Amino acid sequence: MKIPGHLFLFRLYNEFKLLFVVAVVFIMGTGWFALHSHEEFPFLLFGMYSLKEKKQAEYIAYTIAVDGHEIIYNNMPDAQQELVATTLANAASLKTNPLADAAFIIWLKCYTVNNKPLEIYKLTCVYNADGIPQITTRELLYPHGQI
Amino acid sequence: MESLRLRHANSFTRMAKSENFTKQYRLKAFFVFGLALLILLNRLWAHALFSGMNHPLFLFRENEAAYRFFLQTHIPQTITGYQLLSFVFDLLLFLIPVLFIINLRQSYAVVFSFLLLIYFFTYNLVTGHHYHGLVAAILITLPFWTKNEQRFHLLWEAGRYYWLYIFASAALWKIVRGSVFYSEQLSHILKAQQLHLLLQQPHSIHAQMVQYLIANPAVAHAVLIINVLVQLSFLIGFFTKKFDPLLFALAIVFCLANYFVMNIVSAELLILNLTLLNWEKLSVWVSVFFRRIPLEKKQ
Repeated sequence: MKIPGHLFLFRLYNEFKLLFVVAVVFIMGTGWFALHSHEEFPFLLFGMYSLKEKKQAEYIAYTIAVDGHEIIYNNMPDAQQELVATTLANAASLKTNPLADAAFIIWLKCYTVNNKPLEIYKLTCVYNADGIPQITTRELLYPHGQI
Repeated sequence: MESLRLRHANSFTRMAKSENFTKQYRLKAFFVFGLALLILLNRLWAHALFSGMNHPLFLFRENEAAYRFFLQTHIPQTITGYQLLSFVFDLLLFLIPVLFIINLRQSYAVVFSFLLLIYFFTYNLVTGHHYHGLVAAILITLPFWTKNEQRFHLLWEAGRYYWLYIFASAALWKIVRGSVFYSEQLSHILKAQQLHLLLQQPHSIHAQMVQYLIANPAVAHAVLIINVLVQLSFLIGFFTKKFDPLLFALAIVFCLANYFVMNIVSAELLILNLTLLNWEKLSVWVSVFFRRIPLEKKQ
């Protein structure tokens, strides 16, 4: 079988052996992890929301109020939004409630408020037929007595 | 005599080729490291660089071996644990690419790639979310580790294939997993993804559009199918470079749409879009443009 000379991997094999090895390992590694639907750096999988999203009975949101005013996530630059909102959602959804972890609260407090009063709420919502979310419960997660 | 003339012609062609490469190398370095600086500036403004994470830190437990290994090295804990050190690292993140643009020393490119990698791991460890966007900036700096023309081009081309892989695989995942055929997929994703927007700014145009898509799953499904077709079109890039300008435009359209529909900023990935540009043409335009400026000034 004749291999076409213009194929990228074939060119790598001829002209840059090290990169050829890296490329082959990368392709095989990515394929292997893709088959197992598991990601391991540097074999990144770019599913971009490819998992089937099932209907949920209720949706959870976490909000932060500083000095009585709720932080509007969309007003933050994207990287900051990720840093605050995603960290908070990940931390709050862990089984061992890390909101009881003083280190996390201190970090969040320093990052967001410069020692102003801080409150964290967990909102449980349901959607109506018009696509509007309605808050069913509003639970104060922080401050609480344990810290 | 004839062979001498031929040798002379060959060496002239080689010189012209190498001069052309030097121009392109410099131009690519300017754009790649310039855009990387813009990404970092945006993150500095968002207080999301090392110095923005320099408070007592909460690090999530990790499933991935590379992240666990990085935690074991204590690098993220050390950098973010000392305020001065985090400022030094931030400073280096800005200084190194500037130095590279000025004198094109490979060692600066190598150091910058590693600095970005350290930042990438640290940021993802702090957020507990494995954000992929910065991988593009790390990857595109790798060709600058060499000044060998052939190797540089091959590494640059590898970056182009990775860019194609990102989009094409995203489409294939949706097809293989069947989510593209699930009529309520996007509507349900939006309910979770845009909950903050709908709760906090329900009267904004953005929220109204999202709300419409949630309430009309058929329209949302059509949007999802268009999105998958756009991503799938990047497959063509594996076979020909003829459509690279179109793919370049589609990548920008995708990132804009991703922001408006999903509220996901994938602009940092766009740095890999540079691999789809025709740099020969671009370097000609740039040299024509810069030659024209002094002429106009004289007039």
